[in-house]
Parts: sequence; structure tokens; C-alpha cells
Amino acid sequence: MAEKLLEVSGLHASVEDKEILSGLDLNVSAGETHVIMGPNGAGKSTLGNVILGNPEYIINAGKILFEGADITREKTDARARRGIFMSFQSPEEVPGVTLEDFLRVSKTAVTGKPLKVFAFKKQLKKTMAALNMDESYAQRYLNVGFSGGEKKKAEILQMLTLQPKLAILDETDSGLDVDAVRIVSEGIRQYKNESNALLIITHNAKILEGLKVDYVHILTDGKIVHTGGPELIDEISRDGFHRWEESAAQ
Amino acid sequence: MEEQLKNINTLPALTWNHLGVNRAELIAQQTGKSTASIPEEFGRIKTGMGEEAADFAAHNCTDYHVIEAEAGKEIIDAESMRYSLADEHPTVDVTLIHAHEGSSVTVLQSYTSADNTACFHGGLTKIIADKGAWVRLVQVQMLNNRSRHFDDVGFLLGDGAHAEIVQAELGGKDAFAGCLALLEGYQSSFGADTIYLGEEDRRLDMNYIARHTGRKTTSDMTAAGALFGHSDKIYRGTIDFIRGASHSVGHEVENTLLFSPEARNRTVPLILCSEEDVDGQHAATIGKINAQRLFYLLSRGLTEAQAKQLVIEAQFAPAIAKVPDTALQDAIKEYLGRRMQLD
Repeated sequence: MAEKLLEVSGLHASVEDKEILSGLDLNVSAGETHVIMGPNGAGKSTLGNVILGNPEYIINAGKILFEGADITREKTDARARRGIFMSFQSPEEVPGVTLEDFLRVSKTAVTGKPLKVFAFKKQLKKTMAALNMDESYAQRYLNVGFSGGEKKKAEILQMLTLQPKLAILDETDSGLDVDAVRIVSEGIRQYKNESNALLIITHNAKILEGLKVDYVHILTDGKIVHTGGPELIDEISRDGFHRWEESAAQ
Repeated sequence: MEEQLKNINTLPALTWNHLGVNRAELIAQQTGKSTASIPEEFGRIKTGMGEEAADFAAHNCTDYHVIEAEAGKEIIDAESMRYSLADEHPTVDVTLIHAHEGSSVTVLQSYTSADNTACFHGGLTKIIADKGAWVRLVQVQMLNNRSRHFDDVGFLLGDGAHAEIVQAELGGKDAFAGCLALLEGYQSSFGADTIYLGEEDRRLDMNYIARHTGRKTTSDMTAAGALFGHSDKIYRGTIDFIRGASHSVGHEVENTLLFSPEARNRTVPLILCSEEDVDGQHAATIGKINAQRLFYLLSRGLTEAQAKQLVIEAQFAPAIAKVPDTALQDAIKEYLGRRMQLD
């Protein structure tokens, strides 16, 4: 049986006194790819932020376990060092810190080991080439002046460099043109193996093409109202979320 | 013996006294050493901290340096003015630099503590940059938290000369810095890159003046700092356009990161115009690290201390990059890292 990575149970979370997640349950095991789909405002991005411990969100009830350890109250950096990663919907710009330096500092932080600089540089060059990123981006300040697509590629570059156990991709496909979606999807495929897991938050099916999806969860009004297989992706692309929104309302 | 200096870092145009920014007072430690002779050509150069500080330095000089770059020559001195201070040796260094026509001069002055005792350092540096000369003065201060320190600088720029000062005020209990650049020459230019770190009950008092008298002159002053603990900082930045300095441009910007509600930050940007045909701009940002940016950095495994260090280093990076010694650049980063861990 695959090792359980993430176990979320009865999760209630709010921001500015407004409840966004209302009793959410989710289990993700190693080797699995989960997709969270739902209409705007359903709580999809909140889920990613809460799993990673964004202090803007308050957990009112419920638990989050990672590899069996209770991380509900743990700080963000500790969760990251356990192997949780999130590709941000709107990655922050950090003037003065180059992409390469940031990757180097982050890699050292998550592994807790000194970095072998030569091997790191070599791997970085290779990964950037695979993502069709110009090498010069490594020396540019993190996300400063990057286009929307370049920012998303930089997020995938970070994921491939840090090699987390669980990668949460929050709307990674938004703002990308067709070619960029294809490249990003290829990067995601490179990352995925039997010992890690993906949690993809999206309302667009394009990024899922070519990925082996195990579970699709429909999130509306802060709860997962339905879980199915990859066949749900086509259904949602065709019919939208009305069916589940209506049943959730009843 | 101590000497109280009462008119230090005086604002070129005074404002309300209750704001407490018009001037500062400084208790200096006399050295009992002989008076440094200041040649006449340097005598007319005014400094940012004012006459009292400059006179005190001249009358208590323990270390005297003269650097003269002949026309068209290059001098880089990153070694001879590195001071490691201890209690029993108050140090006051006086440095006179004359960059003749078309020459290039880079000078590094650094001040660290040899031990944990309270020490005193005073510095006076006067610089003449003749026609087409290029000068960079880099001052790095990393004294312990019990020490007192001042660095007083004055520039005189000829036609087409370029001069810049890079000051890293990172230590000390009381730290004072001042710089006045007189842009007398046609198309002369001046740049100031200041970085500062306030922590515990450190008092930082700074006064920068770019005085434009020549036509088509340019000044660009940048300051970046971080304030922790109960630190108290004043940064005065003045662009002074004197009549006749037509087509001149002056910019100043300060970015301050506040990490403590008890830290006190005062920023005094001042643009004085007695010439109409000029362009003067100032900007300041003061605040905490954006919460979303902090979350982003933490999400990559950095601790809060590491994230703060990264953001501060990023702000300081342009100034640190100008320190003409990579080992000292690394030492500054290491010093900042240690300070972040203490917070």
C-alpha cells in the first residue's frame, strides 16, 4: 500500500473572519496525482495556502497530517522542509535576489546540507533548458520583470530543483499561452514519480493533458462535494460545475 | 577626556525644533595627539557633519593619510586604512585625497572592534576630484554595540569629475555620518550609496548634502536600511541647487525596513532651489517586509531570520557590491547573518 503523505480532516479555515473552508477532507498518498477543480471562490487557493501554513488564514477546526505528523500549527518553513511545495498563482517579486541565488539558498534550506555548487549549476542549466528558459534568467532578480509565463516557469523550475514530496500547483496554467502550457506540463511530468505526489488546483483542463490523473475532487463552498476519476475532467470541461453547485446548495 | 560637539549634522535649512532633526550632539573622545596640518587647498572643503566635527578630527588626529593620484593614473587602496579598534586606543583618522585630472582613485576605510570594549572612532576625509577624475570612497563600519563613531566627509568636484561615497553603517552604539559634495565643475556628478543597520538601542545620525553650483551637474543619493530593537535613526538628505547650477539634476531615495515597533525612523528629504532650471526628486519607502513576500520565502524552506537576511541583503546588495574586496563583502554578509539570528 502506498505511503500516506497528506491527510486533511474536518478542516475549517477562515480569512478576515470569513469561513472559506468548511469541513474539508482530503487524503493524498505517494505516487498519486490529485486534481482540485471548482468554480471561482470555492476555496481552492485557500486550501493550498492552508496546507502550507499561510498565517493570513486561520484554522478554526480540523487537522493536517503530513507523513503521519500533525503539522496543523507548524510554521510554513518547517512544512517546506518536510517536503511540501506550492507553485504560487501570483509569485512574489524579490528585487536584489537572483533566481539562481534564491534556488541555491532554498535548496540548502530544504535539504539542510551544503550544496555542491558545480553539480547544482550543471543541473540548473539542464532544467532551464528543458523548460525552454533562457539561461540569463538565472541571473535576473527573482520574478522581477518576468512575464506571467516566465514566472510560472520559474515556479516549476523551483519545484524541479527542490524535489518536494508533495507539490501543490495553484493555477499554474493561468495566464499561459498554449506553448507555455505544454512546456510546463512537460516539467510536471518530469517531476512526478512513485514516491512523490501532486495536488493540482485548476479550472482548466489543458495543463492536465498528458498527466496520469488518479483523482479529481470537486470543491464548492469550502468542501469537497464529489471525488471521481479523470473522466470528470472532460465532464467539467463540457458542462461546468452547475451539477455540484446545485447539489451543494440543496 | 571627552569633548561635547554641539552642532553636528546640521540641516542646511532648519525646521521645527520639536522634530529634533535640525542638528545632533556628539560626545567625542580626545586622543591627546597632535594636530594634523590640513593644506590650504583642502581647508576650503566643507564636510557633511560640519566644522565642529572636522576641527575635532584635525586636532585629535592619530592616523594621517595623504593620497595623491597624478594626472591619468589609477590608485586603488583597499588595505592601508583598515582599523581594528580597542578601548585603550581611540582612533581619529584624517585622510586627504587629491585626484588630479583624469585620474582614478578607489579607497576603502573599514572599522571593526578588536574586542567587546567600548571604543571611539572619528574620521575626516576630504577629497578633491579635478577635471575628469573619478573617485570612489568606501567606508565600512562594523564596530561593537558599545562603541561610538563618526565619519565626516567632504568632496570638491571639478569639471566632468565623478565622485561617489559608499557607506555601510552597520555597528556601534552611536554612529554619525555626514557627507557634503560640492559640485562646482561643469557636468560633475556625485553618487552616495548608504546602507545602515539599527539594532538594540543604536543611534544613527546621518547628513548628506549634494550642493550644486556648477552647470549640468548630477547627484544621486540612495539609502537603504533596516531597523530592529529600540534603534533610533535620522537620515537627512539635501539636494541644494545654488543659483547658476542650471540644467542640474538631483535624485535621492531612501528605503527603510522596520522590524520593530519600538524602532524610531526619521527621514528628512530636503530640496533647496535658488536656481529655477533644475530637476530635483526625492522618494522614500518605509515599512515592514510585505507579508506575502515573507510567506513566499518561508514556503521555500527559509526560516524567518534567513528570509529577513535575504531581503535586507537584497536591499544592501548594490552597495556591498561596490566594496573593493570580496572577503570584506563576505564578512559584511556574515555579520548581517549573525545579527539576524539574534533578532
